[in-house]
Amino acid sequence: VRTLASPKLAAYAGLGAAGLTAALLFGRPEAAALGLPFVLVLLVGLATAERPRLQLRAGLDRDRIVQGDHATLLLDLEAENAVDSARVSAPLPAGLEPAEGSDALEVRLGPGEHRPLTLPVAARRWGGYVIGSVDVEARDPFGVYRFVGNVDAGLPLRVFPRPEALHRPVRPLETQVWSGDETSRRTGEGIEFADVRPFAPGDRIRSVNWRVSSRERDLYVNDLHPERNRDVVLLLDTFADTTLDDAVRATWTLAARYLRQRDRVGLIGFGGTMRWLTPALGEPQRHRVAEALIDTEVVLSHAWKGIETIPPRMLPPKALVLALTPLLDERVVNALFDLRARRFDVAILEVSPEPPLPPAHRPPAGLARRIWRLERESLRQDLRQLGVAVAVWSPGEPLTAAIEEVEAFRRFARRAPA
Amino acid sequence: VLGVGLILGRPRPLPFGLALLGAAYVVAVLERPPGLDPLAPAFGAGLLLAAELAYWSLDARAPARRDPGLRRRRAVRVAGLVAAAFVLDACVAVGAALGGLAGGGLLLSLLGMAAAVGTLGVAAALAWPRVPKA
Repeated sequence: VRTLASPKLAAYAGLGAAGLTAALLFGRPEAAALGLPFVLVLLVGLATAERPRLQLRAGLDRDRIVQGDHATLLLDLEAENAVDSARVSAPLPAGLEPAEGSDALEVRLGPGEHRPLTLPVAARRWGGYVIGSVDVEARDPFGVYRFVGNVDAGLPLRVFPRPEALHRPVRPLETQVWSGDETSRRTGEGIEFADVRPFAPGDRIRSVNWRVSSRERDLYVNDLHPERNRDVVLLLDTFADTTLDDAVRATWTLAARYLRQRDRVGLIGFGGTMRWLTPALGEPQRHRVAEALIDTEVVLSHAWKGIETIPPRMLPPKALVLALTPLLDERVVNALFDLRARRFDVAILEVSPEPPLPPAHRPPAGLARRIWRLERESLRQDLRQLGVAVAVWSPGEPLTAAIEEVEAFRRFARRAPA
Repeated sequence: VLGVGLILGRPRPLPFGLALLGAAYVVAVLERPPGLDPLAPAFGAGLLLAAELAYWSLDARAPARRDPGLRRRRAVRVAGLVAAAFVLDACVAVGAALGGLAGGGLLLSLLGMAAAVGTLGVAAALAWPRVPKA
């Protein structure tokens, strides 16, 4: 604990000295009457000031929360001697904010008193945070000294993005060989009925369709669709700063949903720094995706980035590459064209960059905005002509609507040769 | 000046504003015919009250969840200080009036010496503020 003079100490010393000096100079006791009260406060304050002996321990009730939820900073303050006023504050990093209006508490402690304190913290944005230090400032009863100290808490708090409501995710065109929740287009062992065909050696007796067999006077068996899983690679555009928050939330929503369906999910952070997560399934992958997403940040770089930099194992054959991008950076657009040219199943969820833009109504700005919109629509058309579904998602609107738009395109559009 | 300090939330202008208030009173006293002003203790205590309230106002601006009893305790302490200051000033005024020293003399000389010693003492305390008391 460091001891510092409060602004009051110097001010009162000056005022007291000025009053008494004026009394001496002008020979008027009234001037002394102005200065003496300040001298009195100083003398009493200096005589009674005692350095506080405080112990502070800090912790968090949990280290992982969802965006918008609260964690509680638990503070344990103990005083060996009486402390008239102790102010405990925890400066919070940007993205976290005090849930009850202030990040500080002011308490009075008696000798030997032990006071547990709580400070609720709300997470405004997803990300990884560290609550670095907890500061204490105590004052003596007359406010002539400030006793300041801090505890290096170093409390990590991981804030996961709050998922959007989603009815169902985009379905890949092809399934993989592992069992999952998606009905495969192929026939084999499964539950969903596919077709009836003549019996062939090797077919199981229990597959025989006795009703058709008796009608046709020959053996017929049922063909079934097997349930298979899918590979999905989520490509997150981290070049764009304005849409990153929403893109991360949408990515997390889709990843969690696919993983719940026993699909394999991979993640590519395509930006100034390239990051990837090899496709895998299950709860461990869900944690890996969450950790990768909350560490996502925009890194400025003008380096050329192509899909050659992505390891081949990141893009399994027949995987759906679902890109979440505002389609603003040419490097991402080129990479998407490149992926489609390599016959990957590509779909784009365009996170609209328009909401943060100021409205442009006047002729030069309005015309520029219209031209910009036309260019973007032209780009979308180019992608659609290659069989790439593009749906615009404006944050604030339901994600399900954009997903359904992608699904509708993929259901009815004929896939153009790559 | 006091108002500017309070509006800006800065403690630095406060002593200048208080000093100007005190100076205005001293000038008014000097313009009067010789004789002790009976309201001097009230002015002295009032100036201290203004200073305490000004610093309290600055302290209260820092947002914090406070113990319910903190304000009451501080109010009682300020009231006690102001009352003690009034009594002290009254004692000085009575002493000056009784001793017939309003125009100068031993008491004021002693007060002047106290000012010098006090100023030196506080300056020493300011220069060595880190260890006020173990």
